[in-house]
Amino acid sequence: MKYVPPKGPKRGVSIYSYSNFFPQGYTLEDCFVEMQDMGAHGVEILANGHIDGYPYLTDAFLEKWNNLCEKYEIIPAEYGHWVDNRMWADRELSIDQCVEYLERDFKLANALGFHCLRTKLGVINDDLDPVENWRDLITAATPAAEKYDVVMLPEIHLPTILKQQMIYDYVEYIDKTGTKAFGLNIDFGVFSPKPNWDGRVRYSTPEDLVPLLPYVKCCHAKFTSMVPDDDLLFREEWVPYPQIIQVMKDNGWDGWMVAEYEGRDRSDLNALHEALHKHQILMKNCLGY
Amino acid sequence: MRDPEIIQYPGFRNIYDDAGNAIGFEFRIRTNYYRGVYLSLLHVGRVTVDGEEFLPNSGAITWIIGGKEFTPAEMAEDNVTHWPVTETAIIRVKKPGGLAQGYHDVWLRWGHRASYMPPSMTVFNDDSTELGRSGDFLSKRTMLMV
Repeated sequence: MKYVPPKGPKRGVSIYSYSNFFPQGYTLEDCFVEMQDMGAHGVEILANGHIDGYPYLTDAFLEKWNNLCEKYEIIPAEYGHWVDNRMWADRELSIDQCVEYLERDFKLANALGFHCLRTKLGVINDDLDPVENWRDLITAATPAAEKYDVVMLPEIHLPTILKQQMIYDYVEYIDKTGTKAFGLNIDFGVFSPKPNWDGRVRYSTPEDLVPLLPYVKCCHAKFTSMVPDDDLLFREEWVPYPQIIQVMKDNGWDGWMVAEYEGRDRSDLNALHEALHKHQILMKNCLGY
Repeated sequence: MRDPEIIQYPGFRNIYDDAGNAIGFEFRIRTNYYRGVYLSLLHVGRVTVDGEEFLPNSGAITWIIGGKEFTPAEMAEDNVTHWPVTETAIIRVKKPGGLAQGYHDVWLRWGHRASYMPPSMTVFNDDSTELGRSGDFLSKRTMLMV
């Protein structure tokens, strides 16, 4: 029986979680087997990491990809890629050059069955403010995005939180232009009260998500530490998953939550498998599926 | 399957000219980054062997990626060639006579530029013997040359 994704929040995995092991010989198929074990059907790949022959699409990879997705009931959820504007040590890509790279990714993503793209924009400071010309860049890339039916999603990641100017600017741009080619990816780390790399403690509440949900097309289900819990079997030490998922369900959000493990022990393969399984049990308990 | 270390034991060897004279040595690395990069995004630093330094602009160092050999200056300009995470790179160092049989401490300073990270966190300092904050690595391995 073919897997049909339900409406609502859905469980997936970002292959980023396995990234320590790809340079040592781990394969997409190794990941897909475990995803099928866990009933996590949505996949995020990193274009620059997980596509043989990147940045070009080969017939061999396309065939392998389609076969793997079919065999392991995997749905392309999100395609991670980057705008490497600081391409050289002494100069940057122009907007036109950025769009050339972007269009190549759009085409690849479309061929592999992705609609949502986690488009990582260049940043200019420790607050992760995006390049000043991000509006011009997104506007310039929009015709190509429409042609290939993809939506560019900057990832909202700590130290950014949901109530701050960057988010208001993104939302204003979407409202003003009415674009379908730009939206948001929320990294669940924004709900974590754990001190950030710079020592600051900043976080959002699950309720802060409500007004943004219409703009959110995919989420990174970030987790760093799974701990036992009597009621839910497992909980994330810092991120309030039950409350976040309840807010999503109550507001009719439909999309993929792709698991992104960033525990200290993630370069231990056994610890990674355990953490992934516990995290999927947590999300399954919250969702009921 | 690869060594979990960055510097791979397989591939550590002397290199020879047509007359059979050792003209240097080479070793391989796997990336420790989760994404492949265009070559211009790589920082190519020095190779240090048993305390002897080979600087990137000295003409002694080349990197072989995808079967093609590049000088550090060529890499710094190349925004087309992509180094995938699944492939090793060969670091080749010119040193007349190569390395003697026995143990050698091999160090490589390298890194990458990441536009999505704050500029303050992605500074590369080839002179430093400390690990940088992000994308600034010092990989070390002691290996036995035959």
